[in-house]
Amino acid sequence: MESDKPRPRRRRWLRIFGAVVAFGVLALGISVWYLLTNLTELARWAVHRAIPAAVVEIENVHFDGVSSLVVEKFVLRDRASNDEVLRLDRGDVVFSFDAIWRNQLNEIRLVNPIIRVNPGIGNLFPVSDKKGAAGKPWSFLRIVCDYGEIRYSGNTEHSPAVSLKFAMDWRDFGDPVAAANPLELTIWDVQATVAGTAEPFLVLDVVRLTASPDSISKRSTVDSVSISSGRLTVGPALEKIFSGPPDADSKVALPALKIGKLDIANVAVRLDDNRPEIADITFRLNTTFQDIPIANMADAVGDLPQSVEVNDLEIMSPHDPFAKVLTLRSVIVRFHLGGLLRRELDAVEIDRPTVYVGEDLFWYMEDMSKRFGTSGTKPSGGWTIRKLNVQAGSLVIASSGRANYGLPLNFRATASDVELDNLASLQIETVFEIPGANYEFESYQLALSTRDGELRFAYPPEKGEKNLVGKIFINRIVWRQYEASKSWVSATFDAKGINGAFGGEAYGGYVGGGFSFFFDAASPWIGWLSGEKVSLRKLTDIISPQNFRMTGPIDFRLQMDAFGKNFERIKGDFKVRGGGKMKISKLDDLLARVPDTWSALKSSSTRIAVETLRDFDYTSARGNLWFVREQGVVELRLQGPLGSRNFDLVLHADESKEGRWKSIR
Amino acid sequence: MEKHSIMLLLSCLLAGCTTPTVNLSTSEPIKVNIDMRLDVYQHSQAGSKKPTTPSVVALDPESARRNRMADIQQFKNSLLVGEGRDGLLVLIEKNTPGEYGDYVRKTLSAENDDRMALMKSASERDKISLPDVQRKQAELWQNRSFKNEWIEVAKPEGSWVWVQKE
Repeated sequence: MESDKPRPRRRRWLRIFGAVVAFGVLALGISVWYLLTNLTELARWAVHRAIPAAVVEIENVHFDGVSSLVVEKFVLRDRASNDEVLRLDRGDVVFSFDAIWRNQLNEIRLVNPIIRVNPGIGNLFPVSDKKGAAGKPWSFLRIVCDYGEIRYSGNTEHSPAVSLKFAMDWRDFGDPVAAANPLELTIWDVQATVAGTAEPFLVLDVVRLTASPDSISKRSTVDSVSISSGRLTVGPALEKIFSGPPDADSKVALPALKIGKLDIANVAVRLDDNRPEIADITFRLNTTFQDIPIANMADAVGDLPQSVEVNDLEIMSPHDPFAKVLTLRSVIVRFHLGGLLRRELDAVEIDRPTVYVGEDLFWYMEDMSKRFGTSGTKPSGGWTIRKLNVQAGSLVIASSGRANYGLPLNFRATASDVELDNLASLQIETVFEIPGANYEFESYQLALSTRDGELRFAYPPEKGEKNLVGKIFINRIVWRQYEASKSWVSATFDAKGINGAFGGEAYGGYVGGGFSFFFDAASPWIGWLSGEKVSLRKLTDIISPQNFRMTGPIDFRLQMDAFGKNFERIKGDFKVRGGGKMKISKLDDLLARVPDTWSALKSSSTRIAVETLRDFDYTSARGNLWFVREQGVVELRLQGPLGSRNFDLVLHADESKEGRWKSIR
Repeated sequence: MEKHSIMLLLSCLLAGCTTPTVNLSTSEPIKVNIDMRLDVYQHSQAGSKKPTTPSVVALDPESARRNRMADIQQFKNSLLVGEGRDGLLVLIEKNTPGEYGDYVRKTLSAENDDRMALMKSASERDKISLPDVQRKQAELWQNRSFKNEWIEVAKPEGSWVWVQKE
C-alpha cells in the first residue's frame, strides 16, 4: 500500500519544475510583453548597435497581425554632420516563424524610401571583418518597393548631383537556388545637375536594369541596362564637370562592374550654347554597347561618333524677320560628345547654302561681331571644325531684303581646323572656291566660261570688314557679238551695296571697268568702262560690219548710270592713238546707185564728194558722247593731212523739237 | 616761094606745137574739211505716239523729268548745275546770261518741283520724314553723278562744300 503514494522527493521536484516553468513562461510573457510594448526603442537600440555612426529616428514599430512587422517614419542621420541619409515612410516585414527558422523573410515592402547618398556615406556603415560569422545568409522571398527615391549630392562643385526614382519587385532574393534568376530595377526621372545651373543637364525618362545575383557576384556584370528616352544637354554644365580636377572619391566609389548590354534609345542630345542668338542643335542618340565597364561608360559614350543632319535651316535678319540672310539646304554635323565638350566638331558638311547678300546680311554680321567681339581676334570659347566641306553654295543679291537676284555661280570650300565663333556669323577665315564652269544665259545673250574663283567673307580679316569679296577668273566671255578673254571679275559686297571691278583682254587691248550697285528697291547702279589700245578696226567690224570702219588703237572711257536693266545715262570720251583710217563702206551702196543717166560731170563730182566723205586718213581722232535714255549726242573729231571730218550724231527719242540741247550745236 | 614759106612755117608750127599743158596739181594736197550733223529720229510706233505737247506740267513728275533729262544732262556737262545735299538741283553758274540763262533757271525750277513732288510721295508712302527722304535721295543722286559733275558734300567739321566728283 505504501507503494501507491508518490514519493515526497519526486513530488517536490515536480513542484519546483512547475514553478520554474511558470516563472519561465511568466518571464517570457513579460519579455514578450516588454518587447511588444517597446518595439520602437528596441529598434532604435538595434540600429544604433549596428550603425554606431548614425542617429536613428523611428516614430513607431509595431506588429500588424502576427506575421507582419511595421516600421513607420524611419530616419537615419549621420551623427557627425546630422545629414539625413535615409528616410522611410513605412517598411513592412512579413515573416513566418518557420521561414525565420530557415533565415528567410517572406516579404520586405518599402514605402516611399528616400535614400540620400552623400559623400562619405560609406564611412557610416562599419565594414564587417568577421567573414562568414553571420552563418547562413538571409534570403527574401520578395522585396517590394513601388516608389523610392535616391538623391546623390556631388562632393565638389564639379560633381553632378543626381536624383532618381526607382521601383522593384524582386523574388527569391538571396536564395542560392534562384541566384541565376534575373532581377529588375526600374528607374525613372533621373536628373543630374551641377551646382550653379538651374536646369538638369541630364534627364533620363526610364532606365531598366536587369541583373541576376549570380552575374553580379560571379562575373561582376549587370546583364543589361536599357535607357529609354531622355535628354542630355552638352553645354556649360558638362564642361564644368569635365573641367574640374579628377574626383578621386568618385573613382573609388565606381564599382568595378561592367554592363553586358547597354541600350540607349531616343535620348535627345542638345548642343547648348549660352549665347541666346545661337540656335541649339538637338539630335537623337540611339546606340548599343556591349560589355562596357561602368567606369568607362562616359568615355565610351563620349567617343561614340555621331552625326546630325539639319535640313532647310534659315537664318533671318536681326532687323527684319522676313529677310533671309542665309539658308542651308542641308547641314551634316559629325562629332563625338567628348569633342563637343572641347567645342570641337569632327566635320561639318554644308550642302547648297545660299547667302543672301544685302544690307541684312551685313547688319547681321555686324550684330554678331558686336555681340561676340570677334573682329580681329580669336574668340574665347569658339568652336573648331576639324574638317569643313561646303558644296554647291550660291549667292543671291537681296536688294532691300525683298528683290532677289541669283548670281550665276556656285562656291564650295574644303578646309581643316577651321576656327569660328559661330557658323551663322560667317566669320570664316576660309577661302571659298568658285569652281570653273560654263554658263549660258540666252535671255541676256551672255555666255561665259569661268576658270576658277574665290569667295571670302570679312576680307581682309585684319581690318574686321563686314563684307563679302568674290573674284572670278574667266577664260572667255561673250556678250552679244562682243568677246573678251583672260578676264576677271571682282566684287565686294557690303552693307551699302556691291562694288565691283573687272578686266580682260579684248580686241588686242585691255578693257577694264567697275560698278557700284546700291541696295535700294529700284536697284540703282553706276558703272564705268575703259579700254586701252583696243583695236578700233575689230571693234567697228563688230559694231557695224561692212558699213563703217575705223582703224587704230583706241583708248576710251565710259560712265553709266542705270536702274536695273535700264541705262539712264551714259557719258564717255575716246581717243585713237597714232591715227588710222576711216572708211564708210555704206557709201559704196550710194555710189553704186548713181544713175547712169547723170552727166559725166554730175556723176564724177558726186563720186568725188562721196569718196571724199567715205575715205579719210587721220592722224588724230577723238570724240565724246552722252546719252540720256534713248537720246543723246556722239561727237567725232578727225584730223588728217587732207583736212578734218567733224561728225555730230544726234539721237532723238522722238520727233519732238522740245529740248534746248538739240539746238545747241 | 612765099607760099611755100608760109606752108613750111605752118608745118613747123603744127609739128612743134602740142596741146597746151594745164597743171591741175597743187604744191599742197587739197584739204577738205567736213562738218556734218546727222540727226537720227526714233519714230514712235503707231498707236503709241508720245505726247509732244510743250505743256510739261500736264505730265506726271516722273514723265516730265524723263523728258527734260537730256537738258539737265547738258547743264551738268556744262557745269551749270550740281546735285545738292537736299536731293535738289542747284544752279552753280548763276550768271548764265540771256535767254539760255532763263531757260536753265526755268528748267531747273521745274525739275526741282518734280523731284520734290516725288520725294513727298515717297515720304508718305514709306512713312519716312521728308528730310530723311531728301537726305537719302541726295546721297543716291551724288553716288550716281558722273566724274567732274558738281556735288555738294559735307566737310568733316560739318559744313558743306561744292566739289567736282572725282
